Amino acid sequence: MHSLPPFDEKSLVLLIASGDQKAFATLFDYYRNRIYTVALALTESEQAAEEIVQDVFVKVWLKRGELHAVEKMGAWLFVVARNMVFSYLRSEAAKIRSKQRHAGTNVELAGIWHESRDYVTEKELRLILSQAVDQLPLQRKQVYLLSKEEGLKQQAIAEQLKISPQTVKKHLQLAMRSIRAYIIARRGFDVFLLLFWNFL
Amino acid sequence: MADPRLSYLFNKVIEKSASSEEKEELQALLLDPENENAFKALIEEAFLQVRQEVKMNDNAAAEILEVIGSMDQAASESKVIAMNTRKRKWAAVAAAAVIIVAAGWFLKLQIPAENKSFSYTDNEKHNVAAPARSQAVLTLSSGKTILLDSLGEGDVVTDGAVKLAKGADGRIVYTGLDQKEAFNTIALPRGSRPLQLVLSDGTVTWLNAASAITYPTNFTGQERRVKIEGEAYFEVAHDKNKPFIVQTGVSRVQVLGTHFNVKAYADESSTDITLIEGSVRVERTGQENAAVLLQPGQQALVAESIQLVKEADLKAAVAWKNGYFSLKGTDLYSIMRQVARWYDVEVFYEGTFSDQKFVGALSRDISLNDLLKSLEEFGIEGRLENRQLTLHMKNK
Repeated sequence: MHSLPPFDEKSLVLLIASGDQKAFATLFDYYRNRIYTVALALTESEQAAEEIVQDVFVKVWLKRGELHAVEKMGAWLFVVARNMVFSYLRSEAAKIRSKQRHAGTNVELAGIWHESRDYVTEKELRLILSQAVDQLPLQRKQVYLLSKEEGLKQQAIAEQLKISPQTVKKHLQLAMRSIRAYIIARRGFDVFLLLFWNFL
Repeated sequence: MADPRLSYLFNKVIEKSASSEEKEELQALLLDPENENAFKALIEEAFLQVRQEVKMNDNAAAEILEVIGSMDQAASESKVIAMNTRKRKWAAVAAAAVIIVAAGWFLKLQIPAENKSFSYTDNEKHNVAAPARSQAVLTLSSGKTILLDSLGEGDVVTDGAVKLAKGADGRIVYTGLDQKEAFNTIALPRGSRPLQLVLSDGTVTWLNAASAITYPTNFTGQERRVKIEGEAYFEVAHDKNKPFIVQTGVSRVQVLGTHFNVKAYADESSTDITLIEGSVRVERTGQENAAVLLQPGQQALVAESIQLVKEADLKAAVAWKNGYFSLKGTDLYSIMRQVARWYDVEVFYEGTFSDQKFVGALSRDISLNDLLKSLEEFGIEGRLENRQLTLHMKNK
């Protein structure tokens, strides 16, 4: 089985609670692969498993102020992680089922249905998305907008901004990650069935 | 304890030895809310049982740390902003609420037993789930009535020469020909899920809760005529020689082949016809000369006269068919009329309410108490007792 963590959990948790990023990285490095392993086995997708690991630790970071009340860090982390994995698996299963259910009816109907699904989250996402994009560092934001809004290829972006294609790729990846983290932080991990609010 | 089959399948997936059938079976079990706790327990257990860790990509790990390290400020700030917006919206209501609080206080002193403190937990025992089935009643031309729920999938009912069958997803399909025009009616009570119906000409219609449709089992005349009460969505099969006509209490909608929604509840102030695709002609009964020809995306509100909405909110108009309450631009009373029809409850109002317009959408699958919890965001509380819902502004 697993050896005890190579750190004193209690004091690590206190450091994290006080906002210590290094302590946070220690916790992250110790648990990330274990969460990743289970997430990967169940989702069969590296990308999904990485996203789950990210979501779990985004939550840890956001909740760091409440961590001192946590008795056993590992146990708490696995509860957070199992909820994330479960939500992911269930939403995937629901997606697949709805596709099957609508396959028999005409294309038009499926179109309207999907459109309305998107409609529910679209406005909310559009608003939060623009805020999420706004908080990106300048160059990353430029890369993101050129790619998503102007539809430019990575090579073209690299030429236009006079940076290497690798840098463009990295910026894009980081932009996507931080937009996800931002949106998840905003939604507060609510499993509540409230689908969206917009403030007009 | 977990269903042994569930743990068996789960472990096979974890050990990567599950067949695709087994994966599908597990997926189906996953969607059953009863399995949620067992499933979560299995996932949690799996974390403790990991023998050989798979290493995640180092770049990905570094990126995640970087992102989390830099999100800090932004995340906490944005939450505050969101709350402020919400508060500002309700600042106007606060003044009114103070008066209601004061009035409520007097009542409390006089009849303490009547004015118990409010809690959603109290609501739970009176909670009303979203309708799980359509409770359609079919009336055949002979006057005989059939509860459609009592039919199984594939069961066939004959009415004269016409047959109707219940297909997958509970939809009702008409086949067969009758020489004379015989009428059937399908009525859905309040608290019923929508029903999908395919008429003999291939027209597909969705009927909402608290609604009814009367239609010929076979369209033998020059026109295809149906009559509705309440709300229905139509995808009319194209037939340029036989116009399709939907009659409501006050309106007549004539179409060739098209997609549109008709909302004609007696408790709404107007009958609303929303055109998604094609073209329809809308008449108000008794004012046949003042007909309106709708373009896709337009809506006709039929009351004393016809009002044309040039850019209608199409998604809001058909939200019901797609499983949502659209709250956008509606007031509390309009939402509550939908709620009353969907959950089959009576709604009572205590005190006054602002004429606040709502935003957003809610799933129609949530229970009534969960819906009330979301209205709390708007400063409204609802007490549930024996299918009676009493609303009041929240005491702050």
